[in-house]
Amino acid sequence: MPDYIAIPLQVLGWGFVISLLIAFLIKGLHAVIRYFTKEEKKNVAE
Amino acid sequence: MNLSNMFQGIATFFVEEPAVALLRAFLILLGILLVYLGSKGTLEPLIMIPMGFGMSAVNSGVLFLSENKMGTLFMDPLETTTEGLMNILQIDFLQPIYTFTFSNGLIACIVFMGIGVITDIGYLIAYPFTSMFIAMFAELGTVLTFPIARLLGFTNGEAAAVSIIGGADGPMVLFTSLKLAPNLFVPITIVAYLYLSLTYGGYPYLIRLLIPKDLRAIAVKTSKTHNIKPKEKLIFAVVINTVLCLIFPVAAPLFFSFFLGIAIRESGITQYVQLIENVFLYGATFFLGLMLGVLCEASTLLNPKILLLLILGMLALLFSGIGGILGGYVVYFLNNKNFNPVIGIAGVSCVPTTAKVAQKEVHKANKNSFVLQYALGANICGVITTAILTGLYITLISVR
Repeated sequence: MPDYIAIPLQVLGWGFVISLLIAFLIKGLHAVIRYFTKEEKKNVAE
Repeated sequence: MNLSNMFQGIATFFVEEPAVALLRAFLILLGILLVYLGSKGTLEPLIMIPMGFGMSAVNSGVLFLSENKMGTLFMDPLETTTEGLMNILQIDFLQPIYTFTFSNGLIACIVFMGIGVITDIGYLIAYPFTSMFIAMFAELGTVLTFPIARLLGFTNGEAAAVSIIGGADGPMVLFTSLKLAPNLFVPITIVAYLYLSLTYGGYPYLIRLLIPKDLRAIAVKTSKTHNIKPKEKLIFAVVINTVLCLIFPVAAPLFFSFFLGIAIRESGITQYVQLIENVFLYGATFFLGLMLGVLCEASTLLNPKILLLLILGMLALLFSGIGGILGGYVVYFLNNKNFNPVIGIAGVSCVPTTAKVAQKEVHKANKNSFVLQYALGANICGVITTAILTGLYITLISVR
């Protein structure tokens, strides 16, 4: 496959995969942060 | 008495090549037109007014620097030797700003910091999949322009640098062209920033062409409210910045600048917020517009490849706009028609211009519909996806 087709196809494919992983990362990170800030609030209340 | 020595700005018109003289005259008039369109609000005034002024002034103020050489006292963007630079830095009054803030990307990072300070990342955190999905669709121009540029005779590096214009991120275009096509740095940067400003004027027509009014008027109903506290956003900004810099060091200066702005906003340090928003952001935006105008000097632009770059830049942003709207349509159908396809245009990461364009067009169709927060989520994800694609292009082309 010539470079001028192979390169953008790889960019597109890997781009979608990495974007999906980043989206999972953001979701997971938010869940973790929310869990720990709730824990902190519970400890402070006690 | 030699009148041509007294009125050199006019005399130089008759001495230089006809093509250069004609282009100079055109750019003087174009500069005046940009000021007019900026003052009317048709084009982004923050960029267009200083840019138009700079464009008309630099093309008027041409003089005889020596017997055989003409130039201006504004700046020389093509000088790269150390000795030559040291000389010009003491003569051309805008050269220090160009050399120490523009050509190394500092001004772009300061603009990103300012954007971080005025951006709420709440929707991005609440709906990352939707935002990322739209942002990837809006990279269509970044992907499609590459083969077209190669077929027109550009090298892999040059084609990649031009394609990144479709990501609509001025700073990313600066970095990519510095890395992969330093010989085209000046024309690519001018084309990229010029078209970014024109998205404000052109994208509304694209939206109206591709999305019927009843769909533009959709008010999105969210089933749950996400109340994300400033503390959560602050911790998120710190952690995601570290992770993204680890994964994409090529875009680390931009991520750092943007998330630092977010962190300052969410930490509530009002003195820093005011400093960055009022002084840094507006100061950087002003000098960015001015630099762009002054770069549009006829002899600089008469690079043989500039016409092709202009066409390719326009194509890249057009494809990206179409891709973003397509992404908006896909989400519209996936969400059982509870989504406004106009939000898709905000995936083109001209932050916050395209988000504002989306909100403006939706508001014209339905005064009760507010999509800005969803649009900003896609806007910010557009920065991330452009960084991903920039990193991929640099990696794939460097190994070949």
